[in-house]
Parts: sequence; structure tokens; C-alpha cells
Amino acid sequence: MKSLLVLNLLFTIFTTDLRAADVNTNIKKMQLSLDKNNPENVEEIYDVNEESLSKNWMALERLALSFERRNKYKEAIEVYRKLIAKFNLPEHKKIIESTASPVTENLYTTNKLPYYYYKLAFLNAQLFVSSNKYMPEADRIKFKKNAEGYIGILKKVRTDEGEIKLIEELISEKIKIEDQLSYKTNWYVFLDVISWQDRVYLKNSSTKTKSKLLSTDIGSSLGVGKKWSNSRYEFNMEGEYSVATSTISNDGAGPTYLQSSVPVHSIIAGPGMYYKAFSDKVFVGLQIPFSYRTGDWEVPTGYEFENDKQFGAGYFFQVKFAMGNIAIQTRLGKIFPNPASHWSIGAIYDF
Amino acid sequence: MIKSLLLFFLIIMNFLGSKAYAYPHFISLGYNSCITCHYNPFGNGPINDYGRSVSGTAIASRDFYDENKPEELIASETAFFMKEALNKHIKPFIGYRGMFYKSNLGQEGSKVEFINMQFDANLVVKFGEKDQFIASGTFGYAPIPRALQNTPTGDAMKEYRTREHYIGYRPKPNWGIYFGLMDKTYGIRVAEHNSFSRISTQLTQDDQAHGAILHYSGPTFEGGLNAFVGNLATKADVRTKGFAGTFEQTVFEKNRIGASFLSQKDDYLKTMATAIHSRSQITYGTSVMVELGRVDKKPVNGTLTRKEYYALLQNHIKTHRGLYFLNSVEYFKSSLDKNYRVRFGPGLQYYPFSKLELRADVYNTRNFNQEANSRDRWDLLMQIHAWF
Repeated sequence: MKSLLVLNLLFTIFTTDLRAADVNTNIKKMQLSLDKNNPENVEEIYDVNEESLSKNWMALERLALSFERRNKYKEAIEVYRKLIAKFNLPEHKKIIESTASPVTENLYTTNKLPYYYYKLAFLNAQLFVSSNKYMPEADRIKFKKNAEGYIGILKKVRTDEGEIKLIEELISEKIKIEDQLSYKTNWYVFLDVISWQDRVYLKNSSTKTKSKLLSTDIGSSLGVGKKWSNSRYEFNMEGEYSVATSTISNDGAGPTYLQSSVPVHSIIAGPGMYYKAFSDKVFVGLQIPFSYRTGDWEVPTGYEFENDKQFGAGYFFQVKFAMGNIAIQTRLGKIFPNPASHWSIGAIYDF
Repeated sequence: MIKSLLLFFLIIMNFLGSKAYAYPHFISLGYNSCITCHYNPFGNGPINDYGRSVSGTAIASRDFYDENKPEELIASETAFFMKEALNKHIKPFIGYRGMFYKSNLGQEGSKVEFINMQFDANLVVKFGEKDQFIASGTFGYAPIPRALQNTPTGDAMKEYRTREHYIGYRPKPNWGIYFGLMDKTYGIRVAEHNSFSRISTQLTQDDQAHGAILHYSGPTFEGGLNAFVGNLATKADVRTKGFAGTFEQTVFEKNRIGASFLSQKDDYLKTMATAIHSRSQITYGTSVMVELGRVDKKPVNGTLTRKEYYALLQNHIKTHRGLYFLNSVEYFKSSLDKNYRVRFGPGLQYYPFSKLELRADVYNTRNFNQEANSRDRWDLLMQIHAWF
């Protein structure tokens, strides 16, 4: 009986040694794969020998590294969490519960907890940074909170301040970019000097013959608009009311018609966009104006106007220079069927 | 209409007013006074050593330089032909301006021409312990102004002549007196000699006069008085004799408000002009300039006085170092009729590197004349300005 027990003990020692030898061999293979930049092999070795390797922190660390190298951050996070839970739980709990900063050195100088915290903070930050609109909002918040949580723990265990700052910058940069790309809504008002040329037709009421008149107009314009802007683009919808004076006379054959200082009113509305070019303050863009114009030109006896009220549509090229809430805006374009260009220059105030 | 424009100018100035030559818009870079960069205290003509450095390190772009090239090295290359000055007393300068001009864009009768506007050689000699003595002479090619071509006055002009020569003495840094052929001191000396503010006042590119200028430049106040007897190289009957003056006060830090007057007479015409103006830095690199003026012109042998009114609004926007976007709106009206003209001109000004300026402007001139309606007119002006 005694001899059986001794044999069993020897067998157990022998097989344990064999298994230990296998684990060490596999860890060496895992490291070799990492060294040769074949991180996929690490996972294969682990999968085949999971039962033994899952109990070894060195194997788990190499597995986590292989996940990291393949950008499988979630899997790497799971492994690091397992490393803490399985091999460093009492110390980890004490660090979590401690409020003082820094915590007692013996809680982390004899283990690799600071390294795992750093990895967990960094990997959660990476997941947050790589998040996009297709990722559920709950996940994004979770990764950000986790990263910030591990940064908080890291600060307790005196890890390199530069490394912590790097992770914090990663998160804040991402927040800044998202903030810049998100569209903000603003109302604005603007005041312009505006000028254009109009074609007006005078029609003989009895003969129905038409003669062309050319009206040159200049005035001021007050407008209001709403814009949706981020750090690069601005889209707007706006409307303006213009009061101008017209100087009008014949543009070709026909009865003599001369007038000046004739009131002309117009409403222009439409969508537009700006792109931030050259610098943060300079915008170039395009506006699509739709217009309605009326003119109080005197109607000669026996004649009538064909288009003293007229609808039009066209395009403006526009440049804007912004200084805080104030901007200077220049527009140049054409509203059809007007025969000539339309320009304006003025100031915008953003609310 | 005038009320509408004036109201607009006032509103713009109110909006921007919290923050107010050559190139007087460089108040936008913090250069309130011309004498900082030019030998002539009212700008124009050759630039001094400091002005050369500024042109290379603050005005011109770095687009064509290695990003690691130090500004000090760029500044040293702004000297005459990139060489260090032979000595501190003699300062040579060569300048050229040419313009590609396409008139009446997109219309029948559109013309294209290239005009050599200026090709000058200049020598400045300065001496004295504090450079208080200065002599400057410019000679070179200057085309006969278009309005004078094929006229007796134009025929009497030479295409190679001097547009500026003077001697100056500055007993104190604040005070200076200059004698010679110089531009008259009046208003904002904008580079565009075709602007209404320069045409109406007869202060265009060839309207210099021999005379004396007294210049004062204090911490916040700058002014100049000018007495002149006309350009002695022209015929006696067209020499304009008279007085002019311009004064500027700095208000807040980077704003200047000013007033000017001009009274001159030749054998045919008496002219009296007054103007108020402002120059303002809005943000670093961006400026707004406004000038409002009235010019009374009375023929010597007549009784009818013609009153002319003009307004100039010019805005320069620095998009990035070396590149500027320009906006100009000008207004002109004569009392002889109900007509008035408005000119609108967006443009781009680019200094790729020191010693070179490229500029492109489009001008829209609208004539509000009920008796002679004119179609919309657009002109394209592309300038090259090089100096060494």
C-alpha cells in the first residue's frame, strides 16, 4: 500500500514537472512569435494549451500583447482584467478602496498592477478614440469612463506622469475633434450694400410691342439667417429684404424712358454653404438665391410693364472673414433673368 | 443713396471700431506710420532696411521657403540684390510694375493689353549721426498717362523721367522737412491711382509737385504740411501751386482718424479739397480704411463751381501670411448732374516671397446715369510688382 502511495506521489510530481515544462516551452514559443511579429501564433498556442496556459500570468500577458498588436483591444482588455482578477485581486481591491494618493508602495511594487492599469487605460482610450458614429453610444461612454477610471487608479500608483498625460491627451483630442465636427446651430443677421442690374420690358398696350429698359440698382439690405456649422463647413438658410433705388433708361430702340431714384424692393432667400479655407477665419462658399423684386417705375400713358414684379434665381460666390461674432461678407454672382451681375458687401453678426 | 452708403459705412465702423500707407492698409500689421518702412514719411517710393525686413518676414509668405529656414536669414536676403549693404549711407533700389489689363470682360470690344507702369531706379543717400540728412532720387520709365496721350501736354512729357527727388533733414526724430518733387500730402495714399479719391483730387501717379513738406510724427499724432509750386518739368500753365496737409490721430491702439485739405491752382482751374478718413486694424493682418471727401473745382475764367463727392471703403483681409483678400467700394458724384458712379472691386494680393507682389483685381463700375444707361462693366487687372 505504502509503495502504491509512493508511486502515485512520484507520478504526480513527474507529470506536474512535465506539465510545467510544457507551459514554459509554450510561453517561450509565444514570446518567439511576438519577437518574430507573428502575433496570430500566440493565440493558436494559447488555444491549444488553454487549460495550462490560462493559469500562468506570463502566458496571459503574451496573449494580451498579441491581441494588442492585432488591434483586438476588447480581447486584450479582457485578458488584462483576468490578470488582475486572478493574480492580483487582494492588492487591487486595496488600491481601489484607498483614497490616499499615492497608496502604500508595497501594494504595487511587488506586482505588475501599474503596468496592467496603464494597459487598461490605454486600450480603453484607444477604443474611445477609434469610435465612430456606427458604435453604440453606450459603448463609447463605457470606453471613455473606463479609460478615465484606470487613469485615476494609475495616478494612485505613481506611474510615469508623461504616459498618463499621453492617454489623457488622446481622450481630450478625440473629444475636441468630435466637438469640432459636430454641427452647431446659430442665428445671424446681416446688413449689406447691394447692387444689381435689371431688365424691364415696357409694352405698348395697343400694339403690344416691347422695348427693353435697363435698370441699375443700388441700396441696402437687411437679412436674417440660420446656420449649421462645424469646424470645416457651414450650411445656411437665409432671407433678406432690400430697399434700393433704380436709375432706368432705354437699352435699345423704343420710346424714350428716363427715370432716376425710383424705389425698388426685393426679397432674396435661399440656401448656401461655406467652406473654411486658408485659415480659421476665412470662408469661401456658394449661395443659391431665389428673388422676388418689385419696382415703382412710372408707367407712361398707353404702356404697361411686363415685369415690374419679377421672380428670379441664380448663384452667388461668396467670401467671408470672421472676427468673433462679426464677419465681413462679399458676394458676387448673378440672378437670372437679370442681364448683369449682382454684388454685395456687408457685415454679419452671429448670435 | 448717399445717406444709405454713409449709414452703412458708419455702421461698419461702429461694428469694427473698437480696434483703425504706399500700402496704408498695413496698419493691419501694426504699422501705423509710413515712415517706419519708407524713406518718404508719407509712404510711396523706396523702402528702408527695416521695411525690407518687414516685407520678407511679416508681409511675404513662406510658401517658397524651407520650413526650417530662419526668419533672420530671410530678412538678410531682402537687401538690394540679396547682398548686404555696401555701407549704411548709400541705399539703391529698383522697382518695376507691370499690368495685364483686360477691359469689359465678356463683352464685345473687350481689349487686352499689357502696360509697363513703372520701371524705376532709385538711390537714397543718408548721412549724419542719426541719419538726419537724406537725399532721394528716382529716375526711370513712366508711361504718358492715357488721358494725356496725343495731347500737347502729353507730347511735352518724356517717358523717361523722375517722379520723385528730394532732400530732407530731420533735426529730431519727430520732425522732418523735405524739399523737392514729391507726392502731395492728402488723404489716404492708396496704391490704386485710378481710385476716385485720387482722380477727383488730381493726385494720381504723375501729379507730384516741387515743394516743401514739413512732417511731424508724435506718439499718437502725425501730420504734414505741404507747400508746392507744381512740377517744374511741366509747362508753366499746368503747374499746380498751392498747399496741402494731412493729419492723423491714433485713437485706441490701432486706429487712426484723420483729416486732409488741398488747395491748388494752375492757369485753368482752382481746386479745393477736404477729406476725413480712418484706418483701422480689425485683427492682426486685417484692416478697414474709409475716406470721405469733397472737391470743389472752379475754372479760373468761369463762375460755375463743380462740386465732387467721393467715398472710399477698402478692406484688406489676411488669409494667411503673404496672401490678402481685398474689397473696395467707391462712390463718386459730381454736382453737374444727377449721376453718380459706384465701383466695386474684390481682389487678391499675394507676396510669394520678398521682392515680389502679384495682384489680381476685378472692378465693376456702375454708372447711375439715367440719360446714358450703361451695361454692366467688368475689368480685370493683374499686376506684377518686383523690387530689388
